[in-house]
Formats: sequence, structure tokens, C-alpha cells
Amino acid sequence: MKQIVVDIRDDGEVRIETKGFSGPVCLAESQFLKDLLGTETARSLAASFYQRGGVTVKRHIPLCG
Amino acid sequence: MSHISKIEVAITDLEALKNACHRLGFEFVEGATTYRWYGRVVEPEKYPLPEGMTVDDLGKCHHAIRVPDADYEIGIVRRNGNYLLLLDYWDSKLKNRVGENGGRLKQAYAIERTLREARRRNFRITETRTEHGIRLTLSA
Repeated sequence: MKQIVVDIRDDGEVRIETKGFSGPVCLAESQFLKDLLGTETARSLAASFYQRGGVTVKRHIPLCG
Repeated sequence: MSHISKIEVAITDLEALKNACHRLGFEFVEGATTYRWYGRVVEPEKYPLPEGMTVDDLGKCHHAIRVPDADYEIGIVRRNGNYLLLLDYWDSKLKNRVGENGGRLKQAYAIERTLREARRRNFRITETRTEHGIRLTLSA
């Protein structure tokens, strides 16, 4: 099931977590909340972000140079 | 899980702020041009004014919020499309109800703003209390 979980702490800090999405669509699906609540100050991507249709997209990362 | 974002809350919607006041049992005073505070700045180096504000701006507002049992009030000032909350923490009753840096009021605002938009988009919503705050779960 696709879910957007919004944790709103007593000190006013907001943390948005998307669940059940594959690939970068999660960013678009939750963008409306970020736009209406304020400014995104940090973001971390989970492994499923790099999946397309259940297949992990491998990328080569330059380690030096 | 796909990604996690942290958001710094900015107050831009007056209706959601009114609903937040209702949620907390505060009174929103629409159109109030002044709010109660200590009346003079103490230790400005320790408690700097919000960016762009001067001492002369303090005590003046576009709306105000009254908090039950508190002596001072919260001033709401419209600036660059945002609403700034001005409050004097010398009143400990006000500070206790509103939280450090207005945290509880910002929390209530974020809840009300999220709920309204989530309803408009026909999400199924559950609201639960967690150890450190409120969790809203929106299901498509």
C-alpha cells in the first residue's frame, strides 16, 4: 500500500516518509506536502528509490579522480 | 520506504492557523493590531529579534492569539507571504502552553494544514499520538 507518513513533533519539526513507492515517483507524490508546510531542509533516499518496476538500477560511482 | 524528508514549518495559511488555535484551545483575535508583552527589550544579545524586525515593530501585529491563563499574547505579523509569530517568553505560562520556539503552535498548524489538504485529495487519514508528537498516515 502506498502511504505518506507525516510525523509532527511537539517542537514543531516535521518529518515526511513515503512508503510503498518505487523509484522517484515518491518525490513527486509527496511534494505537495513540502510545498504547503514550508522548506525541505534534509532528504535521505532509501534503497527502493533506486528501483524501477521492482528492478534495482545499478550505478557506477567514481571513487576517485 | 522510498525517502524521508525533514521540513522546517513556515506559516502561510491563516485558516490553518485559526484551526490550530481551536485545536489548542487558544483564541484567535482577527484584526488585532497590538498584542500584550513585557513592553521593553531585555538582553537583546541573548534573545535576538527575528530577522528584519526592529524594536519599534514589537507590540504591533496584524492578528493576535490569546492563550488561556497567560498574561501575554502572541502577535501575528504578515511579512513576505509568511506569518511570523511574536511572543514574549517572560510569561512562563505562555511559554509552557506554546512550547519552545512556538513548537506546539507550529505542530498544530502543520497538523491542520496537512489534514485539510489530505482531505481535499481524498486520502484516508489516521492520526495517532507517538512518543514525541503526532503521526498522520495518509493512504492513497
